Amino acid sequence: MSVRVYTSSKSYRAGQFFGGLIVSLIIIAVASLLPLLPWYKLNPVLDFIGLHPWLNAFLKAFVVVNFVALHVLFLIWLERKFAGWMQARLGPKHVGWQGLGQTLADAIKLFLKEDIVPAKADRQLFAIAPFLSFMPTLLTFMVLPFSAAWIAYDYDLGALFVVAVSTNVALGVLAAGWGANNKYSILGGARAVAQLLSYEIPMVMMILAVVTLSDTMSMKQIVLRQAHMWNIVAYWPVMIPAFLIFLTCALAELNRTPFDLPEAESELVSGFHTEYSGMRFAFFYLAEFANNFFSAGFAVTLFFGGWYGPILPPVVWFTLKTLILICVMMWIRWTLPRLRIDQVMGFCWKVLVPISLVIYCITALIALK
Amino acid sequence: MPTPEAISKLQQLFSETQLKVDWAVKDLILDVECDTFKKLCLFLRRNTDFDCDFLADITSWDTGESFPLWYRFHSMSLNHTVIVRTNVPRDNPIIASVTDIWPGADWLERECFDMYGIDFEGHPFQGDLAQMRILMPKDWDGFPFRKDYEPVFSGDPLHGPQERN
Amino acid sequence: MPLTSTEISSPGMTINMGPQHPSTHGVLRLLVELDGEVVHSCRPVIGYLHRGLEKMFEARPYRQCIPFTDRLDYLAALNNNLAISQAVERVGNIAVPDRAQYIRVMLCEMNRIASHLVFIGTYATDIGATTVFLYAFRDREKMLDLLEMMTGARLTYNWIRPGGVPTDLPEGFEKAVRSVFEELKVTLDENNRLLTGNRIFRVRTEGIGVISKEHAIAWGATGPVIRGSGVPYDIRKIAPYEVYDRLDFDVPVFDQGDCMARYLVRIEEIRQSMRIVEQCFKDMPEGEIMTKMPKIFRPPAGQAYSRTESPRGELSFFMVSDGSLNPVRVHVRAPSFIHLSMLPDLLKGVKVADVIAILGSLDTVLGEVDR
Repeated sequence: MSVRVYTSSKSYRAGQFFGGLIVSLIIIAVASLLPLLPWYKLNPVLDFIGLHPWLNAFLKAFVVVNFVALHVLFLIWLERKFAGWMQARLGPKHVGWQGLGQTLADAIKLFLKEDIVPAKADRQLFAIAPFLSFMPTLLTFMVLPFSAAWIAYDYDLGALFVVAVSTNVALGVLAAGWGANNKYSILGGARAVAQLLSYEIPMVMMILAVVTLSDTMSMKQIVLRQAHMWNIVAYWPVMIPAFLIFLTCALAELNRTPFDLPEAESELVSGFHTEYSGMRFAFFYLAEFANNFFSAGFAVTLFFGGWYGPILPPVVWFTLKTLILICVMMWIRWTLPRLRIDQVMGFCWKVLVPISLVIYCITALIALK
Repeated sequence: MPTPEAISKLQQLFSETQLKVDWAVKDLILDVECDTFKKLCLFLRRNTDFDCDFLADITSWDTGESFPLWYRFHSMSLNHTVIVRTNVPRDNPIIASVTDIWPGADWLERECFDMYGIDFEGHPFQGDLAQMRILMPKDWDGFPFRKDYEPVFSGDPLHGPQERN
Repeated sequence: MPLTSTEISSPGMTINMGPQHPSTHGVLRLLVELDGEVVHSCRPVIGYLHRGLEKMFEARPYRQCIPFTDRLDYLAALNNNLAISQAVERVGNIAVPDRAQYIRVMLCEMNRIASHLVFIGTYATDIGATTVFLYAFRDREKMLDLLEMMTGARLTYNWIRPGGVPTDLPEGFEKAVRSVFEELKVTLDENNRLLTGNRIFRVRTEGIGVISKEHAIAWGATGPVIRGSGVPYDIRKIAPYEVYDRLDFDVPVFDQGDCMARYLVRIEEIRQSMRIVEQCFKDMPEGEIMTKMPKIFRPPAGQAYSRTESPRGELSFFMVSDGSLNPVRVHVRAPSFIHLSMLPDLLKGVKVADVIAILGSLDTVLGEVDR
């Protein structure tokens, strides 16, 4: 009888890691070439559109929505590939090159699936919940500055707008948990709302710290102030802890491990989206990953100098930084176990809120000076 | 193995008990009538020479005339095993429960009831058929491990072997 | 109809965990009454996997009972094979050759490693760390390959027989085992760093589901559960069977009695099992591997029981013979069955997430519970 010989798993994993790195680098290289294309030939068209407010708005919305949708396709692939690399397996491999088409295939499958609504569900609430949780996420992309020019709407109160809008995600989650009329979903929804609202506080505090230092709420202006030095470097004694708190809160807002209690698979059987299938489920996924991209992008805007960077075009720099931050989030997700609900809440109220208050006071003093 | 003094004391107190030692595994085997069974259990648990604080197993089987019961006790401190055997008659299978001495006897006794219909007097669920059933469905008729048990086939494969209401 | 607010806030919200639930490890059903996130009471409902194996044993000759035991604790099938073989050997007064005993012990320990690796993986998943699951299963895969090399099967081995073992060690087995153990020692430390030292894993398991020493003894807990509560109760030491009295190994005991202690006991047991297997290779004598057994096996009338230490605890087969071809009664003392009966007591007043953590730390296998 033959024995299967296992070669050293370490070299195998290293091979996977570097293979993945090369794949990512190729993608980034291709992305960085895009701005070199002769886009200026479109200028007359863009001028024409710019003169028509309705057309302008429509086009911007079109670009944002499609960007989000396409990016989510890529992000889901990246998440699965990343999980594969971390877990000593290959991840998606069969649909398209390196499995890049896997998410598309999954999305098509989900859209073709029967839309099941449980008999005792609150139909309206159940139907509207996925969109309730997707809409705020989509709206936040409106003020995300990919570069000085690539921002859908440079709102004066951009940071405030983000805070105000993104909180509404909780509404969608609660609606999903309640509407499905499933006890697991209700527990998941209740957990989600408690967690989202609690972690909003230190998060807002950290946004406020940056806003105080930058003296503006406009997302574009916040980045422009970092033209010479990133916030996290310029004010490192306060900004490094501020960034860490922001990252922690972002993980909690995104329901990612170690804060994935609302959709804890092993306890609540996916929590608030237990009963969802097909397209509605896909929308929850879309919202989650879009939110993931936005949170990382927001962190880049606040702490890592947005689009600024040498050689490469600004949009690429922004995307690159965001992707790195997303990879850090994925790294955390696939490493850590899950906390318990009382520990999550205790951590927020007993640790994060006091620390963030102190940090905010210090930044206020710096700003005063 | 308990000391000879302890065993002779046990014999004095329970003169009707038959003692046997299984030398292969050095186990003390006690055959006892079912009305003195509970007293013997209490003695084994409380007496420091026996100190049987660990109930390892309860089981029963069907000989055709009676249901012998087989209890295996272990002493953590003295590291010996005591086996207590008793017999309950087939027409009135009832014996005292030991759940108040060893709480772990709960499910083991329920299993004996489930399979052989032996009633355990003093068990928390005694007399409550639906609560006593543990492996079989609550509404099951009969005790499947008895040798004379005949399953009634309902003819409906989805419904299981037994007629249900 | 949607639920009304009073239905939710009332303490009587009952959650039906299982029989189809990702974390009940089989078809266990837990009727959990919740007050918010806190468990009021819990009632395990078992019997979904009840196949009446004990009754089926009664209709079969002794040797044909062995394949059924694979289906009891399917994560450690060899340990079940060993337990029933011992019971048959005791009831029929059969002596087993030395070499066969060593092979048995070795394989059972390897199966114990495989079983504990499944525990590490599934427990990590229960707590939420999905990556460890795949690491543990990758290691288990290697163990299964070794067992496949030896027995020809990967899960239901049906391999240890009354009177010995059917085949001798295959060529190159020792080398293969050693190379797998070398890797396992490394990856076990890696997993340990990833999980045991993890702050989140520790707050989730330390002080959760505490079973006191007295409680564990009174409820009849065995195996890693009772050793995690500070009782050095290991059948391999207190009533050595096969060749365990000739082998040098430690019984890991932790006093805390919480989920973490039970987890640590199992981690340490993997190391001890590797030690045992390595010693077996060194000490194993040459010779017969199977006693001459009569073609038609009729043991004398009597009763006998075996006590073995399975990965889950004290696994004991009780056998009654009346001198005929088939046993009159075979009873399985399944450790998981006893451990599950402790659950209602353990789960009072804990959070929902702890239900999973505690249930997972008991490491029950439902095939064994329901039989």
